[in-house]
Amino acid sequence: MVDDTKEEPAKATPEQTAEPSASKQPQQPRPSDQPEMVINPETGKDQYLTDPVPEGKPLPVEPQDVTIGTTAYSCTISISCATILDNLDLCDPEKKELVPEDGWILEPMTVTFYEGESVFNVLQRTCKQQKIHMEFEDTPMYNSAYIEGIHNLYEFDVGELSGWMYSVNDWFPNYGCSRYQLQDGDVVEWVYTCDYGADVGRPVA
Amino acid sequence: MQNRDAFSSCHPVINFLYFALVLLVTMFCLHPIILGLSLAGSVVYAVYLNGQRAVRFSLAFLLPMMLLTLIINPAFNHQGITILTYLPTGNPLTLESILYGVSAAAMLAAVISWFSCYTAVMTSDKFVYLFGRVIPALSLVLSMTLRFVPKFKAQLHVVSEAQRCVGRDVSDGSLLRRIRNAVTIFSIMVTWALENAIETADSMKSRGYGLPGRTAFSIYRFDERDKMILLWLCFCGGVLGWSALTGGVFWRYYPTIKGAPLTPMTGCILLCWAGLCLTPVAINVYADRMWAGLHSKETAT
Repeated sequence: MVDDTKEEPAKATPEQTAEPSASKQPQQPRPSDQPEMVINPETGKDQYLTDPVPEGKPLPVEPQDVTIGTTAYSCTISISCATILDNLDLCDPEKKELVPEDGWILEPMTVTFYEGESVFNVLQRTCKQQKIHMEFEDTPMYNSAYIEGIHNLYEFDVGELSGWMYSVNDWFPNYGCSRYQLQDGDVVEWVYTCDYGADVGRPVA
Repeated sequence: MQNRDAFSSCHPVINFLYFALVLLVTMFCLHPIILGLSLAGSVVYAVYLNGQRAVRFSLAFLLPMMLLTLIINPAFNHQGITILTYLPTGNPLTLESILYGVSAAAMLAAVISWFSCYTAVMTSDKFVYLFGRVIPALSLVLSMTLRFVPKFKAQLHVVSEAQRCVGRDVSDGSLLRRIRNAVTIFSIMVTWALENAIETADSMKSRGYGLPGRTAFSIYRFDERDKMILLWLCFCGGVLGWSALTGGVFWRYYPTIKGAPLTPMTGCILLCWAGLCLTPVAINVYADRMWAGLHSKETAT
């Protein structure tokens, strides 16, 4: 994985030169240090189908544009499936035994990350370290990894509105976890929702 | 047509019920011992029926297919709590997914192997005998379609031999030449097939197909041996159905491997299943022994 990220800067240069020819979208050359979301006026979304980010919230950062630095920071990460405890009747009977009594799969812990790393990088590393099972799928359409299951609890295991969501500093980003670049001291929470986010405190759009 | 073996000489109802029961259980049960027994039973019977050909089929086709299934499952399925290592994609490789792959491979191989026995035993006259009354049109169409494949193959052989005699086979000339010859042969075959269909229809019509009051001749008798086997099949079906309902052969792979505990009762169920899988072979061996015994008595006197 480390090798992958190191190769990326080399890819970034041909992409920038190729941009004028890809004139589908009114896209300016966008170096990663100049944050600006390029919205397609036709769809009202950016090129990875993300709605405009609310004011004051961090913009998505494309993982292929990022060079991982060496400066170490720390953030807090936790994984909880407490909502399943309120919906045990919906839960797949084969999965019930996996749900911890207090809902914590990983209690809040402080972990180290490196400059430029995303929520996904931190989740993946933490899960490997803590020997927590985690399965994801890369979705090129949204330019992000999609977390299918953690601790063998998968999407749709507790009804058809269930799955994993993440919040950073109590905000549920409207883009994928590979595009959320972490800042020092961020608080990342991975929560299992049984009601499309309503039961974990995501405001309904 | 002469029967392939003693089990084929049983009543078609017995043949059909047997394969239906064995295939149903194999397809819907995930218990590793059940699947292992099913695979073993089917391969033994296929080898008994088809000899060398079955061995070659198993080694050349079933084994590679099993290996492929075995590799594909853990590559795409990452469920399970026992993480062995991480794949290059970043997802975990779990023990449960590997074992599930093994079971799926065994199931696939067993089902294919049972079907190869089915085609050898359940000839189309048996099928039409069983279903000719219930679904006359469909069973006729089915048997005609199934008959068409070997007939087409035989005719293809005849045509390509004839073409080879005039130097226009697919084995002569440049690549382009060969393709052109192949297309010609194919065209001949299509013409033949259409003509054959018309001839068949004419022939059927002239023999009174579709007229009311026609009877069908069949030589099948439901004798004492068939009754015994039917009782045995009903017993096995009852035991397996009951154990499926009560969870006696329950087995799951995700997220942890868990199955019904091995009690004397599950032991009995598995024993019953093993007996069912080996029933045709047992009947055959018994009949062979009896024949050999009679034969030696005759030669002795």
